Order: sequence, then structure tokens, then C-alpha cells
Amino acid sequence: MSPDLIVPLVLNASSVVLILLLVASGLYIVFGLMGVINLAHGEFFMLGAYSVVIANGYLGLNPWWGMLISIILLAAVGYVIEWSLIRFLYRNPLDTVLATWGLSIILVQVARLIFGKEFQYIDHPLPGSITILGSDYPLYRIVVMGLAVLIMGVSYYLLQKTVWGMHIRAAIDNPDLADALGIDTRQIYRMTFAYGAAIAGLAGALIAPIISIRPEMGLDFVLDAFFVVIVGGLGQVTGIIAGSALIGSLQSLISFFANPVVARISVLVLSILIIQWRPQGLVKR
Amino acid sequence: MGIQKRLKLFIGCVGFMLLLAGCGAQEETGPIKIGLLQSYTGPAGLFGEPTENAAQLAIDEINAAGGVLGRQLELVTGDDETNPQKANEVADRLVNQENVDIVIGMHSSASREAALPIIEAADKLYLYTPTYEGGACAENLFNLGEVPNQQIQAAIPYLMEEFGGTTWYLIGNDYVWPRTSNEAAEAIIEAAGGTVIGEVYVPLGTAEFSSEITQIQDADPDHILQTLVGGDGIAFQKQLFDFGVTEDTQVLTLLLEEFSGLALGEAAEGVRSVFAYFNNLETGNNSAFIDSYRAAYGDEAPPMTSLSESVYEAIQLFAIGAENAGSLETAELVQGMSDISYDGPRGPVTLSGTSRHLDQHIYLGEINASGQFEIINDFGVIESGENCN
Repeated sequence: MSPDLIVPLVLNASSVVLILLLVASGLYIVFGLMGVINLAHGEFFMLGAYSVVIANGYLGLNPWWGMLISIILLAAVGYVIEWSLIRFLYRNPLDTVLATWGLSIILVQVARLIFGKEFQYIDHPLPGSITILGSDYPLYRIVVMGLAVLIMGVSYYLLQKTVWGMHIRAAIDNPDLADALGIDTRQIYRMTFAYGAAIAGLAGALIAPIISIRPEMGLDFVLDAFFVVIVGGLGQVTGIIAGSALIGSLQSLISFFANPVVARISVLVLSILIIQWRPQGLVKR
Repeated sequence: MGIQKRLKLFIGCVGFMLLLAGCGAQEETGPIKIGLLQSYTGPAGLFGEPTENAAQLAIDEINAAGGVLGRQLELVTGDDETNPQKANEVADRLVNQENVDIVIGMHSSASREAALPIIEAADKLYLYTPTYEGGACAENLFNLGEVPNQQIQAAIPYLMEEFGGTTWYLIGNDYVWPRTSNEAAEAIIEAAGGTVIGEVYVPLGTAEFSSEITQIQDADPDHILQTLVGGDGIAFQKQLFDFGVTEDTQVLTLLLEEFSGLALGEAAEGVRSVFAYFNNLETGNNSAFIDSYRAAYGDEAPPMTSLSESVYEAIQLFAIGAENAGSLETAELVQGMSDISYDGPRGPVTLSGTSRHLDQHIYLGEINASGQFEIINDFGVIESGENCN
């Protein structure tokens, strides 16, 4: 292997890791923190990508506006879905699985009805490349990587350093006690779910320019995201960082040095072994 | 005799009587039922609407001209959900419950393998229309789609001659069609004086191609032969463009059609595909065909592609074959369909009785900056090179 390849390989692995982290971060909040197994998470991601289609294709705006629309639209969708569906199911995880599975089917059909089954076109928000240590690398990927780090940072700050974050943690740790202390746990849950949905939407909007945009696209990503959260460990920011880093870098590097099929199998086997060895995930709560 | 047994016997008798009644009702004067087995949902679902439109258009035209054997045609559709197991069930419904007279299949090869035994057992004519890997032969089966011999044999030597470059990198999804196509491609590349310097297969549903693109950049080929399906192909082309590979590497694809071109826009500029039909074809009777398609379904209707238009050709060919045979008896239909010619939207085609495949014009299309295909070469009629004798 020529030494010229080291920089692109490191950048590739980093971008796969950070894209994975971006997709998993909304799920970390909804599934990891709140314990809601939301099978419609991939559809939130899909609706985020379609936000860019709405902004760029339908309204003729710069695709970056789509990123903003995705946050607003999905926060609203998340808020309404928590209010109309999820709040009745907190004490019945199995019912949540069924309900959100049904919801995912409905959302895919809604997207098909509104936008059609075909692949969608959006303008590239940032074509061109940037030279890093002598290697040309797509500029947009670098920006997405930076934004993924920023989003994780903001989420971490909100959860660990603000009163809202403290209330969330209290409401999740001991809902009854939090209630008794005067924390409006219902409102907290609703806002948290909406925040998780908004992050999922933003992830979809950010990744849309480099993948295919179609109603079924959520499925390709939601499985990996669940994987990352489970392998990394529920409820810890460091958990999904560790999960993404492990799964993403292995996937990327084994794809390069062996082939993508071997990479897929290795990642699956390793994940099973990790869950066997540490059912609580890589990082303990 | 227990109550349950008696009940079963009773239901059996009623079923048998209904079956007899059904047979009796199927008069020689009612409409001829054309069964269209295709994907309305699942990954190939986006082709469902334009394909049904193309089928209905052919049927309306034939009916307006007096039908086939003096009878009108009627379309009966079935959705395989891009799922072979479902294809098996739906084929059974079409031939055994709906009693269609022929089956036209626009679905994956896996679904064809699942539906074929049912259709053969019911002794119906089966016209399989999309582009595929070749080699499918059966008693009542005709294949109308492009086969590797037609696409690769035409395009690869031409590209090397016309645009230069001898080294090729092959990338495809990991299943039978890309692997078979690439096997054929490798022989053709070497025969034309080129070499394959790399080959990689990714699982279906892959959305991240940075590792494969770095491998491609490292190998630095002159040409890429891309056999990725649907969304995978789109993600790959977007990322290939992002990495700047398309600036100095030519891309030939065997499946990237008009839908994908429109979704890619400038990211696909210069990407070439080889098909027997393109939406923008100016030869043959395509202008009239597209005009009637737009008149019937509006400007907002999805684009026509080789996959969908092939079903229009299939119904036109069936009409000719049935008139030839003078009967809807399958054995006679197979005879009637053999060695017939038709001049439609894709230009003159001949359905060979020995190869059971279609000899047809093959065109090379190149995507422009607005995502539209422009035809850059007409290779003329190319024989399928298949043999089902």
C-alpha cells in the first residue's frame, strides 16, 4: 500500500464513523435515553431528506435551507407523534414497537403519495474538494463531519449542562419522584422526543446530497443506527461514540483491504460477540 | 362421515362446480386477458406506474384497431412487491384464478425463476421483458430484454476505439446479474485489447462508497463498468462525482436509466448507458409513441425507460404472433410468435424462434448536465447471441 493512501483511508473511516454517529444521535436520545424503541426513526431520517427536496425542488431555495426546514418540520412531527401516540405507550415497550412500526409504514406511504416513488433530485449544496495533507477530499464530506461533531457537542451540552438536561435525566431516572418534585415530566418527554426527531431529520437532510433520496431510504440507515446504540451502550454519549467508531471504522477499512461483503459479515459477527460479552454495551451506564 | 369431512366435501364440490362454470363462461368472444406481473412496491416499485401505462397504451391502440383475433384485450395486473415468493403467489393467481391468456413479466430474474414453474404448469405463454443476464430458456418463454452480449459486446469495444483508454474497473452489487455480466465483460474487454485492473461487489442496499472509490482512485482506471441497482447506483454516482473521479474516468452502466439520470443531474454528466430504448430516442416511431404517452398520461407522468417500453413491445409482438397462429392455444402461439418482426418505438426488432430472445437495435446514451440522455451512437440491430433451441 502506498503511503499516499493513508490520508484518504483515515478520512474515509472518519467520515463513515461520523455519518453513523450523526444518524445514530437522534436514536441515542429517543431509544438510548428515553427507552422508546422507535421503528419509525428511519422515516424521520427520510422526511429530513425530503425537507431538502421541498426547499430545493419545490420552493427553489438553496439546499441549505432544507437543513433548517428539516429541523423545524421534524421537531413538529416528533412533537405531534409523541402527543398523539408515544405518550400512551411508555409503560408498554412491545406496544411501542408495533405502533411505531405501523407509523413507519404510514410515513413511507405518505412520502410516496406526496412525492411519488421515484428518486428525487436536489442541487449539490457544496461541490468541489479541499486538499488535506496532500490529498483531495470532497469538501461537503468534511463539512458534514464537522457538523456531526457540532451536533453531538450541542446534544451533550444540552443534556449534561442545562436545567432542561437535568430535568430529562431526572424524569428518565425516576419519573414518579421527578413528578413529585414539580418537574412536568410529560412536557419534558414531549420536548425530548421532538428533539430526537429533529436530529434524525437533520441527519437525513445533511446526508441526502450523497445518497439516493426515495421513500424507503430510512431502512438502510435505521438498522445500523440501532446497532451502534446497542453495541455502544444505552444512554451514554460516549457509548454511541464508541459504537460508531468501532462499527464505522471496521466497515470502512475492511471494505478497503478485503471487500464490502466481508466487512459486513465481520461487523455483524463482532457486534454479536460484543453483546454476548458485554450485554450492557461497550460503555456502561 | 364426520361433519367436518362432509363440509370439506361440500366445499370441494361447490369449488369444482364454480371451476366448471368458470370454464364455461370463458367464451371465445370475451376479451383476451393479458396478465402483467410486475413490481408496484419494493425497490423496483418506481417502474410500476410507467410500465402499466405502456401496457395500457399498447392495449388501447390494438383495441382501437379491432383487437386480436376479433377480440378486445384486457389488462390484469399483479404486484410481486419485488419479492420472488410473492411472484410465485401472484403468478398462481393470474393463471389459475384470473385465467389470463398470457403472462407478461417485468420483474427481477429471481421472480422469474419463482413464477416460471407456475406459468409452465398452467401452459401459458410467458413474455419476460426487462434487461437481464441471459440464459433463461423454457417451453413457453420468450425474453425481450437486452442481454449482456448485446449491451457489452456493442459498447465496450466501441468506447475503447472512440474515446481511448484500455484499463477497466468493474463495480456491481453482489448477486447473479452483475457477476454474470462482468464475466462476459471481462472476456470482451480482453478481446478488445484492454485489461480489467479491479473488480468489487457490494451488498444490495449499500449507501456508502468511499472505500470503493479510494480503491478506484488508487487503481486509476480509464473506464468504470458500473452494475449497481437502483438507489445504490445513485449513491455511488453522487459520491464518485464528489470525489472528482468522473473528471478523468469514463463510466459505462448497464442499468442506469432515465429515472436515475433525472435524480443525478450534473453529478451524472458524461455517464453512459447502453440500452435498446431511450426516452429521447429520435429514430423508430418513438416520437409518436412519446406523444401518445404524454397525451394519455400527461406531462407529469414518470419518464419512459427501456424497462417499461419493453412491455409495450411485448403486447404488440403478442398481437402479431396471435394473428399468425390464428389461435390462443399456447403451443400454436409459441409457433406464431417465432421469427416475427415488428417496427416500434425502439426500431425494427425480430423475435427469434430458436434463440427465444429479441434481436434489436442497441443505442449508447450519454447523460447531459440536465440529467437527460442524449443518444451518441446507434449500433444497429444486434443479435441476442442466446440459444434456446
